[in-house]
Amino acid sequence: MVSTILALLLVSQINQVTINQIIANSHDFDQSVIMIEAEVILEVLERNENAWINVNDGTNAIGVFLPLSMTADLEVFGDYEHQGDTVRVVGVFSRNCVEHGGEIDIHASSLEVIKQGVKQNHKVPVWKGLLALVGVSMSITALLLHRKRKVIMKFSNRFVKPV
Amino acid sequence: MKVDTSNWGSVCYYTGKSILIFSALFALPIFVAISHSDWNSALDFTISMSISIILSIGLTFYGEQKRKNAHNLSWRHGLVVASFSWILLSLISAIPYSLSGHSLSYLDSVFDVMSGFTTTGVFLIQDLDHISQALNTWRHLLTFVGGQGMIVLAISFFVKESGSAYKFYVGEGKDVSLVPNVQGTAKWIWRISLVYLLIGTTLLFIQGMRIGLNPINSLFHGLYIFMSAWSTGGFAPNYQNILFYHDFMYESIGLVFFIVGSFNFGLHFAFIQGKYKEFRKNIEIVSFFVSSFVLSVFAVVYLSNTGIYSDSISLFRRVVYNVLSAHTTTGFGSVYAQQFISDWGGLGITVMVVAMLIGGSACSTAGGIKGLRIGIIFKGIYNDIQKLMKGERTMRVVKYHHIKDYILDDATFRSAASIAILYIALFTVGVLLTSLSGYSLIESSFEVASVTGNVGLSVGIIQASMPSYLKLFYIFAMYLGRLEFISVFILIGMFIKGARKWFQQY
Repeated sequence: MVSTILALLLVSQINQVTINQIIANSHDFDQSVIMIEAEVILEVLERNENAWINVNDGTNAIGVFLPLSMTADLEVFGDYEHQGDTVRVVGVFSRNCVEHGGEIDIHASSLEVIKQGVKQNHKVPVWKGLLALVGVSMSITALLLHRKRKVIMKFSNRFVKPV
Repeated sequence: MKVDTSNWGSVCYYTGKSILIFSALFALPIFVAISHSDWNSALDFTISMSISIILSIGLTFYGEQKRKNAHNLSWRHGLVVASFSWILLSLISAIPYSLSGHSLSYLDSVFDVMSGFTTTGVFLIQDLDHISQALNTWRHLLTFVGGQGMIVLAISFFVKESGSAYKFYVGEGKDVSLVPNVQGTAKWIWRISLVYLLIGTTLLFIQGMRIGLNPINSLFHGLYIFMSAWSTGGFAPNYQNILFYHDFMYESIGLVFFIVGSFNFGLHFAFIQGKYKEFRKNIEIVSFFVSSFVLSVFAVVYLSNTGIYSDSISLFRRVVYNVLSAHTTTGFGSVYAQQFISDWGGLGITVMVVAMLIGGSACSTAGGIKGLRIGIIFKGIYNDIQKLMKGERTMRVVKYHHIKDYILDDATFRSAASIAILYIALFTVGVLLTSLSGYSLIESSFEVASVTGNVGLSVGIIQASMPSYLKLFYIFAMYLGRLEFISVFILIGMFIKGARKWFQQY
């Protein structure tokens, strides 16, 4: 209870920024505690006791390094079929992380799912189906005519006497 | 140069045939879409495939009626087939992008396709992290096929047109003959690429699993990253490019394949034949290693002095990696676009611009002026200085080794210098145009060197919001850079001549 209140107090003290703001002003934000809200992309990349997640807030994307246990609440990851969970990440930003070969990253101290991800509904428009049907019919006809023409030409060439 | 417009029929006929063969490629994303029960994407690609087939048969039919001499295609028409096919294939291949709803305009779609075909790697596609597997397959397939050459692909299937095939092949910026006939050469190019595809994808698949990707993602990402690396393309399935994986080994596998991919196909073939000494003697390899070493040392010394990258691992992963990515014209970026401007400074960016303009090897998947030409130009200048110092009466025969020994004559030197001058001229025009659009000279130089050299790194100018005339210029610059000018100039000449004739008639 006390730790939650402390965490909430800490979060209220930190300015929320976009990923692009951090990267564009990496000198200013280097080694400072930042807070971002972004969608988790693809999947958790496990590294022993720790893990990487990649998050995208629509302005840019960044890697977040965190203990594997923190990823337990993540359920939906962003890809073509899903809008991933939106998370609030608080952590230390590095513009040249010595631990990770000079990478720009965030070492998360807390991660909270603020919006559950959803499955995307990619409805197939009727016009696409009709257009595809017309296209396939026309291309098959064209291919057949092309083939037939080639056969006729080949056959007729046999009966043309050389001059 | 006299431009003959009378044989448009043959141009249309062969262009139609090339497009028909290319149309088969749509089957792969259709298969991927169906296997993912993604009916939307399956329809996008089916519509595109149908348009491609109908257009190709229409062109073949029209060409067959109009062509005057079926068996004697001139050089200029051969070159035009290559450049004309590239334009039409770019327009057709852009259709699935537009149908997917991830492009803001058809121009943006064509931009992305040209970037893929020319193995550049910059993109305007929106919301990349949410595009379908089928569209991602298409993006990387285009860059893979573009790297080897669309005409090389078509020639592999041309059975009767062996006489004309070599002219198409040259028109696509390739000139090495691996075996005496051009079909055989085209097939060898594909054989070499497919063997590497198998090895590269397997290695990346295994490493992908080790870094935490699930087996399906690991397989697709391995395939995509290999296709991009080998073709020196620079596309990646996610927005963060190679930074998505956070792994030194994954980056290193990519690094090995994009360096190998930037080598001449002749060199790969020499290896297959057991001619290992070629690696040491070849002028392009010598040129590549010397320039890579010098440029990397410059960048490392400068950036370590600025204190941005403090240890050797960081210097290798962030500096040497990007210099090599630029030099091989790959475009995998292990730093963010903004970092080039904020961290790398004037000298760092100049090193990158030089690396991007030099580019990889001739007759490889890479772009740029090419190591062979740089080697020839340097050797020619050195010879001229020697001649002046030793007196004109001394006769010197200068040779260079590129698969076999050649004598460096004036014509070879002039040809190499001409292409280099054309690249520099294109780069200069691009920098002026971009600067006039409100970007700084240093940003403009980086971005234009990237598109002219078919690299794909960016400092952030290339965005969907940039002016349309810049998009058009960059499309043209990528196209010119990849086809190495001549075949495009002849196509433009034919169009102008045809238009003039048409105006005179009416």
